[in-house]
Amino acid sequence: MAILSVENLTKYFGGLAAVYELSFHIQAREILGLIGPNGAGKTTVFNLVTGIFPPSRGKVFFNDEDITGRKPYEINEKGIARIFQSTRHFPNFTVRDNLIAGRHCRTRAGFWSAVFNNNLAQYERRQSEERAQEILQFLELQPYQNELARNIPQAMQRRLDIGIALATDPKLILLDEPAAGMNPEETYQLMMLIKKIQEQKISVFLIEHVMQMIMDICERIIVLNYGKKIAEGIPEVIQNDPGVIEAYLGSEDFDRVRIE
Amino acid sequence: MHSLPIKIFAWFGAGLFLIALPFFLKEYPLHLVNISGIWIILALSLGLLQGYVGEISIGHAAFYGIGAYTSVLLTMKGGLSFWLSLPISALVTMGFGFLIGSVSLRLRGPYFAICTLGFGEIIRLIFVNWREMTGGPDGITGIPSPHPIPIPFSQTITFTSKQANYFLIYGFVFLTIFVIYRLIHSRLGKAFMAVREDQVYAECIGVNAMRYKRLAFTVSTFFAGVGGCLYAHYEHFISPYSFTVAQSFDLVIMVIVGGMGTIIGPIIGAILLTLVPELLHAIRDYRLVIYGLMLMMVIIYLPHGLAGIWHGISARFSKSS
Repeated sequence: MAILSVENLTKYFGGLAAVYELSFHIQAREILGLIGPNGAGKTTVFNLVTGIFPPSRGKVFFNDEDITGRKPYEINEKGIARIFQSTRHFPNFTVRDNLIAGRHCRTRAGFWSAVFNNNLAQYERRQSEERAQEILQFLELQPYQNELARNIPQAMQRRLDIGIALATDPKLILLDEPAAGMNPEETYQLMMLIKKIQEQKISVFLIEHVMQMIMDICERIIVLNYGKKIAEGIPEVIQNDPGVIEAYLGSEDFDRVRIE
Repeated sequence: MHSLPIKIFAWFGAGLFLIALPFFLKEYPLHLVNISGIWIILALSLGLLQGYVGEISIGHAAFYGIGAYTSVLLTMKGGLSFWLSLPISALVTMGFGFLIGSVSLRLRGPYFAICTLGFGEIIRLIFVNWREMTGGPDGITGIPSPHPIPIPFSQTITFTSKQANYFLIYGFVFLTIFVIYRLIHSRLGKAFMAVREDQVYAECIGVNAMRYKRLAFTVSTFFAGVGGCLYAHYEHFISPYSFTVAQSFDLVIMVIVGGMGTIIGPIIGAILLTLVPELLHAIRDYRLVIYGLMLMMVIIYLPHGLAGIWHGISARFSKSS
């Protein structure tokens, strides 16, 4: 069953079609890759799905529910979480507080609960704390839990970004170049982590420039160029698609990128 | 290991000091303490918005004014008891806060500040020009003290003395501290701070930013209304000159100088900026010049305000020990 379906999604910025007539779907528990040259419109697709801005045309369905044009916090609450291309979290919060902030949409205590610190507020506080501890353990971030997020190593900050996304209990997680700025060892660890996320019955939609990672972990891949889908299929097919090689490099040494 | 008993001892001592304070002070110093209390309520309420949500409102004095005028009209023209007009005037102020917040909080940063400045001026002009109700620039005199509370088998508690008003005002100071403390230590407080740190990101992890900004603004204006009501019945006189942009700026400065994003900060700021101009009469004319200098110094050298000094010292202390 498709967890996310996108139909004829189009976004114009002025006269430029950043995304044009794009349709695809993500199956439950699938890892879907999204690749394409710089400026192909990959991040715009993420922004459209998560409601950062509305599409000019087209529809987005999540679990068969139309979520086109909904606000980011509504979409997040429905179960789509994302991480951003640049490291993004709350640098002045501790690592643990960042994760607890991610629990916001799964807790309900309102103004009066807060003022009287009633059972609901206390219960939810314990729950959030427990979930944060689980995620700290899952991501092996416990040693940093009381550090300010801005003081921990870059690779750990990327992990924290994923942790906050996981704290919102998503069904689908969108990862925008999670391996950016990582060394091969850290990239490998990240790949293992994404596999572990998939094992938790979470679908993954991945933008990445590290081809080895894309080819190794994605079940299917979509290739964008100038906002249009130029290929879709399993990694082996994409690797040998002449259109993709042409678009990606304008030459024939696709292998070089793959090995890199 | 010794820290817990010491802490309890310190809190107990502070409580005793606050209870004993009005009986040792003379009339005029006690008056200053009471006025400080009202400014503490106002600065704390603005501090919730400014320090935790990160939006600066330059119209806070207008809400203070709405609270004052509403309560005065309810008691003097409506014949209501102070004890009824207090919650009503706070709720009315909160209603205005909700409406104005809903509109102006769509803007952010300096645009929001300018918008609140505009609303503040509009409200002040209404105080000046709606003569039948507000008495225009002459203001309203002869405002009654809070009505006495009867106690069975005993006398009544009257609120004509400065001592009695001290307990009334500081009761509300503690209520304000309590509500804001609980709020910022709840999930709502986390949401406020998430919006302050990065609004777009906060929305992406499920925080309805507009809703929480509006909540903070509404709570903030509620306490501004409480402060206004207390002020009117304590001073027995109000005029539009007490609720101008100058007072709004004073409040913003109190929060910044005291320390944004803390509870103790606005308290320190409010006490300092109430007492210093009173005690140093000679410099009163240069008040704004001194405030300007002070603001610059604090922003450059103490970005976390005076409360930041204490945090800095305690952090160093705990590191070395």
